[in-house]
Amino acid sequence: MKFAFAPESKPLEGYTIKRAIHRGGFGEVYYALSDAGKEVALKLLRQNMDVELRGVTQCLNLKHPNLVSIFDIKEDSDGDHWIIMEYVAGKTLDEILDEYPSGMPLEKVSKWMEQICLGLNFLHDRGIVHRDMKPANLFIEDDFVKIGDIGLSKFITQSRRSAQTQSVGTVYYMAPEVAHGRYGHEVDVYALGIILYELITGRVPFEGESTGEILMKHLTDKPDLNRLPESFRGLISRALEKDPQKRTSSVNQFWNELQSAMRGDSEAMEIPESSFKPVAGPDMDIDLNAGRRKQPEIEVSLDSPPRSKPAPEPVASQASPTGSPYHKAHKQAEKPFKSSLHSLLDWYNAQPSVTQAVLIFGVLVVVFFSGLLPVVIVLGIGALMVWGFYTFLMALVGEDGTKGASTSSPAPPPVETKTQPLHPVAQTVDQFKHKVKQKVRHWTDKQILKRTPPETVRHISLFQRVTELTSSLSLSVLYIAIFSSLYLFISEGGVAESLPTVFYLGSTTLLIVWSILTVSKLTEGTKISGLYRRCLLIPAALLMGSAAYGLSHYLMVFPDMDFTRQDTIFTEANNKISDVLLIAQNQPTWDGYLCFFLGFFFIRGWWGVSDSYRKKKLSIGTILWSGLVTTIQISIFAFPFELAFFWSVVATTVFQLATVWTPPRDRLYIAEDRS
Amino acid sequence: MIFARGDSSRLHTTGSSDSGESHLPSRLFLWVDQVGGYLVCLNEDVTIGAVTGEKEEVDIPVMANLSRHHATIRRQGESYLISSQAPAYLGSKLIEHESWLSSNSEIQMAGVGFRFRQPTVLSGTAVLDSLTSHRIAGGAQGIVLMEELCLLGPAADHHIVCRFWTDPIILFRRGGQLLCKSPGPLFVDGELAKEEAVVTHGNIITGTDSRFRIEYC
Repeated sequence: MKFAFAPESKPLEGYTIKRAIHRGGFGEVYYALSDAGKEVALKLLRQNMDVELRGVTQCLNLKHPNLVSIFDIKEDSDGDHWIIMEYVAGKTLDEILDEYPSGMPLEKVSKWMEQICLGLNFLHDRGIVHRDMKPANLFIEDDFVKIGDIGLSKFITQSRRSAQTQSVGTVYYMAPEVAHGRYGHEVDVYALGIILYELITGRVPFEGESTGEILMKHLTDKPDLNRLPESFRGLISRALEKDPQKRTSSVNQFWNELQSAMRGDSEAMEIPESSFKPVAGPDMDIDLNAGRRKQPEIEVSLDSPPRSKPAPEPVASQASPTGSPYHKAHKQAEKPFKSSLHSLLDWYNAQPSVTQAVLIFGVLVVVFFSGLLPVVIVLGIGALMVWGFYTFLMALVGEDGTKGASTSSPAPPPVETKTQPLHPVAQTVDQFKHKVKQKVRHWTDKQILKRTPPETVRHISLFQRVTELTSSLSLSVLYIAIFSSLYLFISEGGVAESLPTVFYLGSTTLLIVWSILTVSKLTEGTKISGLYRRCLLIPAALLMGSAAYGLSHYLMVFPDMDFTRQDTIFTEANNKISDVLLIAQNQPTWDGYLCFFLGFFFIRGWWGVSDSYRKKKLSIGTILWSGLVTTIQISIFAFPFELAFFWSVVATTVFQLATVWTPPRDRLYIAEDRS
Repeated sequence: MIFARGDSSRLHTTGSSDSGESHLPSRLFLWVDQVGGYLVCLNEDVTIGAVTGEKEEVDIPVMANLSRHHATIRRQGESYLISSQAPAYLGSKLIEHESWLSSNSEIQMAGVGFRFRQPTVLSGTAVLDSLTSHRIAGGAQGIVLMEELCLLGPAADHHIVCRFWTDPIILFRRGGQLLCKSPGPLFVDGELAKEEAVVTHGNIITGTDSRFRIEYC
């Protein structure tokens, strides 16, 4: 970061700059010494000086131990204004929070929050709203907290129309009504709630990949109160009310409730659902999906600034997605089914992966042992066909009915966004973009990997998907040929005798890899849940089972499963599902193959193995895990061990070798390019 | 200022020595943008004591109720010894004559606390972090007991951690001169340095996203 003034500069008579401290929302801040040796912080104002100077002048004579004092305002020879402030030597709360990733001790939280509340209450009592409360503006020196940037943020609405008004942290602490341009003292209370939440848990309640996403969460999402001690949930829930009228009314009340929570006598209270209704009003029209219909995640459009006034209602909106009779009827009809299904899926997705695995396993056991397998297969295939047809129909019509509407309705009048001033939210998003990048660039590879799991929703073009898929499919042929050939070395027979087995191993493994890869690559980076992805693999599993069975008979390669062998860990006890035999005459039956591949495709989350955002290009742990999962599977549902283990281990290896892997740094660059 | 590859001792630079004699002071101050001020002690023996306001002061003057010369830290090779001239503790143990310092040991004297650290095994340079709020000479945020080199950069094992920097900068001494180099582009007083450059009092060293000034005490 470059600063305008070098060390030893003397832009103001009587003060020598020693070093730069930071570039804040309203200008650069320097550490300087007066000629007599007094330490001060000099803040250079370069934008909207009139507006900001009025705010600072108002606060010039405020004195409070928990506020950073403003000593004077001076003009240099270039006509720039400088604010001479108290220099606080300690760290900011933002820096201290980095040392407490899981939250701070409650005693410390209480001690510091008390001082923050005292300082903020003093400001509110004098009719001043801070409007930019955040840990980066709270300075800690000798356990004393001082609130900084007082007065500068008062006229934030106007100053946002220029560059350089905010720092990246602000968006995490921004109250929902700021989107409407409303800045009452409630915005400070909201920020206090966020800060308290962060102090206790080490995390802010609304996180996101982009500033737009975070802003939208402030507007619509419910904070996760489960991370908090029970006695704090009511306090935080009231402070984070979306509606400022329902929010904790004052800093004093907030502090009183905090004291009660500290004593543990605060009644636990859930936020009523009504509090989380989106607060976007007529004066705030954020374009969530402009030009990004294919993307499931919510984003504030960075390219087209939201309008500050409601645009004329387009004629097309009469037939707009939400307004069309078709759409309404469709929505109403699917609502009960969808809501119950979605709540079930949400609940499932919220479970840890171990619980998910146990659930899937439990369902499989019930299905297999109750003799319902044929019924389930028929129902499953039927449901998949209906679902596929429905999805295809929706894609054809346009999920929102937009396609149909656009052909019959006149085009909406052009919106003159360029000539209108930027809305504060869009302006803020614009300004934060660069700083988010700066912050993110300092993440270590480990941090990046943690934040970009295979489930990361991201945009992958159709061309890229097809290119990657075809390249992976081609490469997999080579790798499988190599691995299958290894059989020649362990085979006791000659080359001619072993060739059918090699071909059998190679072709079946190739089919496994191709079917899983196709589904994985086509769904990579989308919001499709693990359960959906598994369901998509069911038809492939059934086909695979049939193909493996058929090939085995065609090539006369019969995997042996001898229960009488001393070295086998398996017994006949796991050979039956109801009355269906999985192994007959030491060979897997057709049912046995189907059963094996259903379990093989369904139990393991294969998409994570081939995803370009996996942790490592080639992970031995992942290969061993696949082997273990398959071993457990066949110890319950009998199948020849060597064959199953070969498929599992080789397929996992080939998935990793043949697919693209994005190194952590590249993930950042991709994210930056996208934003 | 002239810069050249390899042997920079041949250079004629402001504040540098032609004869190879050391012109280095016993202490210098680094004013690092966005990080803080750091006192760098270059001598083998570093004294700690109270601020007196007189011309002759200890190397690390602390505004506290200490003796004028309260303790001395001596570098021996890559190890450090502390001896006390007034009551001082290493951890909870009173320092009677001399004690070896190990990384992360805490020094306590008259309410003033320091943590002694050697962040990297690659260098004998040590760091003293203040554990109390007492003001150290010149408002230093930290003290570096520099052996041959001092690392400034974003990693935790750098002597001066500058978390916003991209490239580290190495400050080192050779032939009685202080030099600096960096894997990234480096400018001294605005002039591009090739590989390494001699630095002296008043120089401003600027990297990709870094800047600091050297000030001899």
